[in-house]
Amino acid sequence: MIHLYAFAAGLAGPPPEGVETIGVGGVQAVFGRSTGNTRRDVIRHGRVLDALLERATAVLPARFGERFPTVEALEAAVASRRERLEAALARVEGCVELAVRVARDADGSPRRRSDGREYMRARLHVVAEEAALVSSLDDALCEWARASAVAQLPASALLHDASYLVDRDAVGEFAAAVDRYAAAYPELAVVCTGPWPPASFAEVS
Amino acid sequence: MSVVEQPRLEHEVTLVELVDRVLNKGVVLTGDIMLSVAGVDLVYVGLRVLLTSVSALEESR
Repeated sequence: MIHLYAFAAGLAGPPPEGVETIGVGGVQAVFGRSTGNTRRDVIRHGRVLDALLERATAVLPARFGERFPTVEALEAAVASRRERLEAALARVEGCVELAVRVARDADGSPRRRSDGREYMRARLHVVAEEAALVSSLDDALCEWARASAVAQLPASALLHDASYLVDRDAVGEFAAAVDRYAAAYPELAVVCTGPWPPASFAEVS
Repeated sequence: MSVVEQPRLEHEVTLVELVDRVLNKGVVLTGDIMLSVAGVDLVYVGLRVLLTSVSALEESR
């Protein structure tokens, strides 16, 4: 059984240990023969993706759990989607993914009011203010990003949960923009993580 | 939080996000994804917890 890790382009040097590659046109399929389903295997999958990010010019992570009976079956699956995979690799070439989340301060919601209507008015005011804040952050970050993907959030969760596709060379500038925003709005918790392999932008349509 | 515990918390938070990303994001080629993963019941810790941990970590620096 074959476990698919990712598709890559421009992979230089030896692949990570226990990992093999097969090339189809401009697409390198990265796979292994270990097919466990434990948390340890999931973490290993993530570690392999991190290693690939350092060795390849473009990485399209595969979601954990994509399995093929043989290498030939994997090769056939890649061959039938070759052009779409090449296009998807070109879209993420030279890029990493950075995740940005914003949460309001725990005490940020309006205090309980005696009057229900007054409460709703205060609440709406806060919601509008927060939407404007998040929109200004997103605009600032998009200047440094090639693409962005914003998660649709359930009510009362995070204010902003987004992934940005950022050129490697622009990571410092992007992080500085996040820091400036966090400093300007100390009432918000702003967290930026990464660089990650660009899984949020790994669409083969 | 002691100084000794900080790297460990950071490591744990990173792992939670890594596992979440590996299971929920990325190319699905055949749509035939194996869904059940043994021993990953602590995958979804919740972003609020994740954020709280990171904020606590940053404040303690």
